[in-house]
Amino acid sequence: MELEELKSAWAQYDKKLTQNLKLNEELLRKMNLEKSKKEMNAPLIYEIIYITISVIFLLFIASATIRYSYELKFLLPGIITSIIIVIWVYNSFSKIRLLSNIDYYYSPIIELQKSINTFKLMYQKYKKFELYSIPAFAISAIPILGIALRSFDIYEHPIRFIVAIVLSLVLCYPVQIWLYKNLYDKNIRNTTKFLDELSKFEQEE
Amino acid sequence: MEKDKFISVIKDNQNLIYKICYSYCSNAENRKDLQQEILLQLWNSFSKFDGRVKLLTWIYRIALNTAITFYRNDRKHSDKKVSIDASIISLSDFEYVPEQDENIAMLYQFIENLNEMDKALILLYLDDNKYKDIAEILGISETNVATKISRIKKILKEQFSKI
Repeated sequence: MELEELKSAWAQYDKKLTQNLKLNEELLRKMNLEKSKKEMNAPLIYEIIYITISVIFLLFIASATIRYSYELKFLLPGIITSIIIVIWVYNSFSKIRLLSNIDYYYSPIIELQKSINTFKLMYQKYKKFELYSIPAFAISAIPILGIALRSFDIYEHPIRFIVAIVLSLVLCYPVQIWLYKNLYDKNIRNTTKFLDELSKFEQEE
Repeated sequence: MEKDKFISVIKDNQNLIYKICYSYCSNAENRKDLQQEILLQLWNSFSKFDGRVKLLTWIYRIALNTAITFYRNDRKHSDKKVSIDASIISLSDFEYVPEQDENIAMLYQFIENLNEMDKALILLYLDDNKYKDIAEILGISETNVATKISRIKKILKEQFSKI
C-alpha cells in the first residue's frame, strides 16, 4: 500500500468521524470549567503561602537575633537560621517566577515541554537543598526560638535540646515529603530522560 | 456567551481532539480522561486566545502539549480535575468503529509504537498540515520537520508495503 493511499484513507476516516462524532454539550457545560483553573495553580499558590509565612518567620527570627546579639550562642544560630530562610525564600521566589513565566497557551510544544522540564529540574535541585538544610535549620532555630518565645536557654538542658531536634525532624520530614509528593513529584519521573530525547529530536536534521 | 463560543469551537474541531486522544491512549478509560484534560486546558486558555496564531495551530498546540504531558505521566491521570464518567466527544449510536477499518487500525497501531513527539509529527502529517505549520506547532525548523517526516514515512512505507 502506497503512502498516498494511506493519506487518502486517513482523509476518508476524518470524513467518517465528521459524520459520526457527537459532542455532548450538556456534559461539557456540566464540567466545572471555572473551578479547574484554580486547581491547576496549586504549586503556585503553595509557593506564595510558603513565602509569606517564611518572611514573617524571618522577621521574627531576625528581631530575636538582634535582641540577643550580645550572646554569641544566640547570635550565631540566629544568623544561620536567617540565612537558611533567606535561601528558602529565594528558591521559592525563583520557582514562582519560572512558573508564572511559562506561556502554556502560546508556546510551541518543544518550548513548553522544555520550560516545564526546566521547572522540574529546578524544583529537584531546590528540594535536595531543602531536605539537607532541615537538620541545620532545626539545630539553629531551636535555641533562638526557645529564648525568644519562652526566655528559655536550651543549651543548659542538652537532653531537651536533643529531644527537640529529633522531634522537629520527625515532624518536619514527613510533612515536607508529603508536600513534595502531592504538589510536584507526580510528574517528575523521566524528566532528564525526556530532556535528552527532546534535545535529540531538535538536533536531528 | 463565552461558553457557547467555546462549545462551537470544540464542535468544529472535535475530530482533531478525538484523533489525538486515540493516538496517545489505547486504553478507553485513559482516553476519556485525556479528552477531559484537553477540553479543560482549551477552556482555561480560551479567553487568552487573541489570534496571534491561527485557531487550528492554537488547538493543536494545546491538545498535543496536554497529550504529551499525559502520556509521559505513565498514561495515568492521577490529578483528575472533574469527575465525569462519560465521554464528551464520542461516536454516535450509529457507530463507526475505527478498529473495523483495517488500514486505520493498522495506522493507529503504527502510531502507538512511536514516541510522543513522533506521534505528534505523524498526526500533523496525516492531517495534511504544511511543513511550515507543523514547524510552528512543534517549535522546530521546517528542515527538521522534513527530515523527521521522511524518516517516519520510510518506516511507514516498509510496514504497509507488506499489505
